[in-house]
Amino acid sequence: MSQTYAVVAVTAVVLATVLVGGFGLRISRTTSDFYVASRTVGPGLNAAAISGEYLSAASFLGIAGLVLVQGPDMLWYPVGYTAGYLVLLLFVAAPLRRSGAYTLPDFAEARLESPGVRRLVSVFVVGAGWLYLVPQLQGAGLTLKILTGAPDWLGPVLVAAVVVVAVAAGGMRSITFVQAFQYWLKLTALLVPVLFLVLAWRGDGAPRPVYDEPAALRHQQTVRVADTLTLRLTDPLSVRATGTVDGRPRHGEALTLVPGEHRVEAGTRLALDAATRVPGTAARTEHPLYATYGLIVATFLGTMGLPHVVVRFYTSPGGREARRATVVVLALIGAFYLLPPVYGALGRLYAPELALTGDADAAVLLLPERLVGGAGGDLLGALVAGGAFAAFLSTASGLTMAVAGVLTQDVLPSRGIRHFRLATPIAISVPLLGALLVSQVPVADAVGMAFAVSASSFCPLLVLGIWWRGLTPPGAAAGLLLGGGSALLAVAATVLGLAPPGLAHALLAWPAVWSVPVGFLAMIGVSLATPGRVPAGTNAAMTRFHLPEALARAGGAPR
Amino acid sequence: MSAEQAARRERVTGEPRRVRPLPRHRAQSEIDEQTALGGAYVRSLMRGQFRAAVTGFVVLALTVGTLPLAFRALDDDAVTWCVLGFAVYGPLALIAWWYVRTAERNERDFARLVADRPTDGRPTQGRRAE
Repeated sequence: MSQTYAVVAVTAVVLATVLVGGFGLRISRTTSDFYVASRTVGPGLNAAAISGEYLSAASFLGIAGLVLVQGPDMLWYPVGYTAGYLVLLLFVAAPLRRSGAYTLPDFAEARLESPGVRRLVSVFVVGAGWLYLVPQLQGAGLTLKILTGAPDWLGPVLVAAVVVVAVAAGGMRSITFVQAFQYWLKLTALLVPVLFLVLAWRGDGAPRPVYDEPAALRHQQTVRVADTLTLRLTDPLSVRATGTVDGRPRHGEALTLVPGEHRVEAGTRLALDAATRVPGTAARTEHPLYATYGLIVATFLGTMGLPHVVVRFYTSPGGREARRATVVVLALIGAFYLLPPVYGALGRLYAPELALTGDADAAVLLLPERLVGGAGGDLLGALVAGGAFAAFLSTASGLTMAVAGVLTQDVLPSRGIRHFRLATPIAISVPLLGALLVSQVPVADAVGMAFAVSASSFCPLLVLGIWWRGLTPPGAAAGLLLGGGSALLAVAATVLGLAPPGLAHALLAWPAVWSVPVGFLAMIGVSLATPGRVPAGTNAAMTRFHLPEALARAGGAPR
Repeated sequence: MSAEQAARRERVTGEPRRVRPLPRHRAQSEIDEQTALGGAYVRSLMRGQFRAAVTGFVVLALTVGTLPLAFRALDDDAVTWCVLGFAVYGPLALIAWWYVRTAERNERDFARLVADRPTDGRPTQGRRAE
């Protein structure tokens, strides 16, 4: 692929982000501008900004990659991301906006009048935010590596630097413009190439995509393994290898790999014959139905608690507008999610060997070159690369904004914009270290873990806090610790490889099915056991959450 | 902030510290002062909104939530592709649209209830449910 086009596209996106951010700096005058864009963002602009922020690397690259490797079950990711917004709309959107709080810790304190719960929520917000930032940065590294051969660390460092400049300089007002712009950029970057790809696919005689798994090769193909990888085979695989396989040098001889684990050293070339069925490198879980429900619960209920999603609601003028913006968001992200499955399906046809090299997340980036080719393919590839970078930048800046907001208010000594600017580098440097040190987990899987933690801690807090008068501070703390804490431990055990195989692995890798009920039950149970601790202001808070602004505002005539 | 009560002699030495509360509708002030009656108003609004939200959620759970079981029973990957890749987004948007309509209607009805209290305009003394 021509590197020049891709470099130009990525540079253009980065420059545009910094420039639009700088434009925001000039109109971002007050503290209120800085944090919540003075709460004046209308539903249309706000919805585009929310969507731009929400469509992360996991959406842009991860879904197509997972579909390529593991088949259509992985389409539950985009469905879950969208349905999560619906659940957010149903239970949280308008009351959360009316609560007037800016972050989740603010909400917890306003509702429960307890500094202790506030601190606990802060810890979880920062934790979930960092968990979500790591795969964004790693996705940036992968993209730059595939496109330009840059070293792994360059992408994460570049994204972190741009985010620090854009977020610290302009605050929420400029981020709103940046993200609205990036939504449309991302949609264009997937939509235009898809049209050409489908044309090319038809020109190729419109071969029917292989729906059953695993994907099969259509032509003889040679795969170069960039990083040392471990193949886990369930069926024998015939290859001709040049390089090092299982510790022995190979010189292009035919080789049948028996089921089990095989170590393929970096730089090895594997030649695969046509019609070879390509195995996935990711170990398929043994309990697919359970895993699917784990994914559904995590994404449906986890969206409402993601720190960067919550902050966005405070930029709406009121509860009604927040609700309407959410419906527009649903439409916008639903429209976007029609595209990644097409890339996944075409990837199974034209780039199935990606499943073998462990770089399946690159499918979206490689398809234009594979199918269209020539200068056109290069241009489309550059467009996709620009879109991918927009995805990393927008989600990373939203998350950094949210985490830095919490750090400013709850960790650093005093409040104010200067401290916010100080908090920004701190907010992103920890996940940057994580991205550089922790080995790569598939982007969408890593994001799924952040969703599971959010679903088991923030979802009970928000839903019970908004709809149940009996919630007490000890109950909230117990729910956060037991639900969110157990999900966090389960996810950590999975990432560190401590989970035993079999059912235990499925339970730990997809904790939401059990950890969300644990969170809810702990919150309700402990609250019922401590009825004396119901905050004095509960009724006032409930009135504020649920009363339309027109009635709550002093002297406002009811409409 | 225009409807100041007029004839009250007052020495002005600076910015008024507090803004005097404006005359309100009866039900409105019940809500503001958190009387039992006001509480009942808010509870009724909350019940309506919660019912709408739960209805939407149950519809979501019964349709989209049961799809994995249906896919397993059908065991046809082409159907999975079509439904998850395309068909499911329409119903999601439809549920959202229905919910927003219902929630806004609940709020309008509530606003009308608050405005239509017959004691409208009279001094806010007297009948109080405490």
